[in-house]
Amino acid sequence: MDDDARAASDGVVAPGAVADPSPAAPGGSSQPYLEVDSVSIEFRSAAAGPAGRISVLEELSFSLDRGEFCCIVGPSGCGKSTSLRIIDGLEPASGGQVRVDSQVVTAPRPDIAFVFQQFNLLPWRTLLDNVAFGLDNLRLPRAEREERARRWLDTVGLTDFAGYYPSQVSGGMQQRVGLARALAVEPRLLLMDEPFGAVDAQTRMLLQNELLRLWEADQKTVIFVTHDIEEALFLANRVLIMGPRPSRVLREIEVPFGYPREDHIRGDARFAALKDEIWTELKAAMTAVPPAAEAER
Amino acid sequence: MSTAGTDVSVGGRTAGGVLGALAGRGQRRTVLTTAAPRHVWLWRAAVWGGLLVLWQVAAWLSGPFYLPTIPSVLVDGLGTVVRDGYLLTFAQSLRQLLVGFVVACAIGIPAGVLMGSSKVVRDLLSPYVNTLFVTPTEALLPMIIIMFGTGLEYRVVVVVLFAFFFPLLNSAAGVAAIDRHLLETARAFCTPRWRVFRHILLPAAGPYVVAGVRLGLGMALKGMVIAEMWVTFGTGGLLKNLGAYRQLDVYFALGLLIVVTAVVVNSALAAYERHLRPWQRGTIGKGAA
Repeated sequence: MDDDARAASDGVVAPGAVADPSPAAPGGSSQPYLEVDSVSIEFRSAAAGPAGRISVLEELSFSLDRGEFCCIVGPSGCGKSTSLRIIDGLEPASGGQVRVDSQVVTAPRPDIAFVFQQFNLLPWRTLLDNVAFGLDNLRLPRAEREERARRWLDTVGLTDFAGYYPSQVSGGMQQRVGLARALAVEPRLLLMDEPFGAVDAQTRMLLQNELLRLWEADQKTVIFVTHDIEEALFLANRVLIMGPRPSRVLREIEVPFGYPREDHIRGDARFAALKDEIWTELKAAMTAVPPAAEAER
Repeated sequence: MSTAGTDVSVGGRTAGGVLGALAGRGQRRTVLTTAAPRHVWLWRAAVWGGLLVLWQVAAWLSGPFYLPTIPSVLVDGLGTVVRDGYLLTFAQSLRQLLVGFVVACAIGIPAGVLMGSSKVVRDLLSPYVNTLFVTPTEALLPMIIIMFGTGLEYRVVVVVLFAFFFPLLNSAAGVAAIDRHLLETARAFCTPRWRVFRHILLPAAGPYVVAGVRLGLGMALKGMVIAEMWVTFGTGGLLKNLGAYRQLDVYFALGLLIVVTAVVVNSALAAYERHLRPWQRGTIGKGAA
């Protein structure tokens, strides 16, 4: 979809900003890479009385610089997944807008990739062909597509399983494929919706390490939604805490640990203190307003 | 419509094979076998053998006026079928069946795809489809004869009426069953419309459609024979006359020919269905399904 040119003409707040294709230096003077600007969304719902509308996001705003690893935590049903879907352009917002590189997002774009909680692999494609799924939509020579798919399958350690079908491998392996599929299109922004929520605890820690290792290699901008506070602290340089519906960012936390991160920071006193702090914040938010309904989307 | 899943044995015979496959390496697809199929064939042979013995005994007891013996069907009956050109008659009947069946699929599959993908079309068509489905098609034959005469058109129309439900209903079920998460995934990766059709819709709904075609073919054969019996023409006409004149050895031989043809075509299509779903040949439960 060529929506790049569309809609970018008005509504850009920052003065005189021209999209800069080259990576801005960290802390550079230009405007943020990603801007989520007063995004609201409401859904029709019979459970919400005669008016029948539930406001899920209300004036959600935050911005990220290029190369940031941002985790979003919040109570379930608070619209974390929905905000990712809006950022990707999968779902239109009721109000506000999302800008990537100063361009308003109106539909999915090839430079933004998505990793889904339930993997969403095509059951009739082998692991290798699943990795190639997004690649096949790019206008690349066939040889390069194949080479890239193989390389990314290797990178996530599944070389020997290229010819297997998703149903023949474990959940952790399936999500490695989901990750490779997203990274293979070489996106600039990677959106991850509770990607490790459906795998067991040990596999999750392994996958977290692998994800960090991959991210440290080329520092894409990542937004990673999770309900696991420890996971958020271990991965992110910035954690956003969202409140219950109608939700917005309650608080931003800068994580004081640098990269590369080692497993032992999980035992660091500051790590524990931050974890406690975030949990206190979340707990207060969750008990202040009685949670309305469940269903995240 | 449980039609797409006829091979129920998938679940049970896998664990060892797949674990073995995971332990081993390389890309070759693992073939999963256990002792179970051998027993199945043993049982089948026993049942079939028993039935044949029963038939033979019954034939001896009742005499050829009621039931021909197996040797007389296989030797005299099949001999007559071959000598008297009944094979040609059967082939001509099959040709008409094919015409009707192609028409039935050409109507049924697109209509089914539309019904599966659009609620408006489903609401519009399903009352008629359901009504026609429960109507005994035989009851419509006198009217069809009035409308189309007793020639080729009539026979084709009957075959179409018998055959088109299964391609239609199965295609509708197949399209309706497509995982919307996969469609969203395709959207997230900016997949063009035709590639969504080629790589998601077709592989997801294809096996259902083929299963519908397979079931429809069986119905088409029924329609063909019934249509021909009504106007005493072709293979159906032969069966009617052979029965009336008590040439039961030939009658059974011809019947056998029809049944064997149907079974062979049916098995071929069933094998093709399995071929379309290679990923279901050996599975272990996936945690988040």
